[in-house]
Amino acid sequence: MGARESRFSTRQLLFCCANILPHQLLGCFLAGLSVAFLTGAGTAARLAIAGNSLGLLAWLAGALLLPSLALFLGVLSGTSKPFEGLLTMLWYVGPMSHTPGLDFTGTANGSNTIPYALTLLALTVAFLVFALALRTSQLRSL
Amino acid sequence: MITFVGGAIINAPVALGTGNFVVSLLVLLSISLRIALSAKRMPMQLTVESLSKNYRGNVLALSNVNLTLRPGVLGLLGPNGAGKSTLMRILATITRPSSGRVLWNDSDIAKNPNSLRSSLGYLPQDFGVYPNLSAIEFLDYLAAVKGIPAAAARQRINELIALVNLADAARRPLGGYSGGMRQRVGIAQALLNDPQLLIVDEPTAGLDPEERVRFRNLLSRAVRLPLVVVFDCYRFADR
Repeated sequence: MGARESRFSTRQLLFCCANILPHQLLGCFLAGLSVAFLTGAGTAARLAIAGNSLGLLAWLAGALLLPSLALFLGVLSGTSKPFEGLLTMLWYVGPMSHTPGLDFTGTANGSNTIPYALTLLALTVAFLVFALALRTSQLRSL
Repeated sequence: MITFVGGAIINAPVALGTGNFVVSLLVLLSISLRIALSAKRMPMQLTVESLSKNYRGNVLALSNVNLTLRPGVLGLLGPNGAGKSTLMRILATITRPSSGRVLWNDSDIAKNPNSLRSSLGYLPQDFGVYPNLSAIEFLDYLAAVKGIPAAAARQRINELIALVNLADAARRPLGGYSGGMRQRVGIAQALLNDPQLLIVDEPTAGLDPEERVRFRNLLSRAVRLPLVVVFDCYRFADR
């Protein structure tokens, strides 16, 4: 996400389009978000049926974090490698090792679910703002 | 166009004199519509004022360029490194000048790039495509990025696919296209939004002689005034 324009050399074609940021960058984020939501829909449904609102909040924070992180790293580096490497490490340290705070699926956070989820949501916003700022600066600097 | 609209206004009282109020109203509505349309189309002027561009390492690409472009075809001619592509990228709003400004219909494109971008068609010298997409899917994607409504985009894409003679290959992945076919996709994407300003940068570089002739014919068919066309003519012998 955010790296395809560099990878396939389409930046010149895209960056001269009017309102490129809402049309393309936001569209890219929403596409990534829909993938995250679809792949985690089973877990979300199970949490919703069980009435586990805290678990659902943690799941939502994780689902929002990953595409925003992918977009930020993709726009920053112009390749998908940093996100792929980081995601592999995060999966190992977080969900697989159940490290509180780094488990973006929220299952290992226990009583700290809300502060951890809010932290992830804040990180999501920060990643999106940085991605937007970076892409804005890239638009006129080819 | 002003003269034409003015003439219509002079004729309006004649229609009123007949007593046919409905006809008169229609005439007035038609005149208003023409005035509105002509006001939208009329200005079309690109002004380059004292434009300079310095790259890192104190490399001067452009120095104090001044131009005023009105509808027609402009060819930029120069050897490698003369700054043609830099000027074109600045005009296409994807490179920021070091000093000076560019005005599109009196609007500074540094402050309001969307004023030009919405009227711009740009075919860069080197551009990539998404190899797994077909020509139709690629054009559909770019139409969405340009903000063209889906129904209008579908119709426009069909027209352009026919115009660039890619109907037979339109559903094949772009990864298998030849250089000439990709260039035709490039010109199709540049014409997607029916641009008022078309910028093409060395469009026949890398094409064989037959493809160059085909490309020139294609562009001459595609370009209908009023369009300001900026043409980069490094290979002057091609023209």
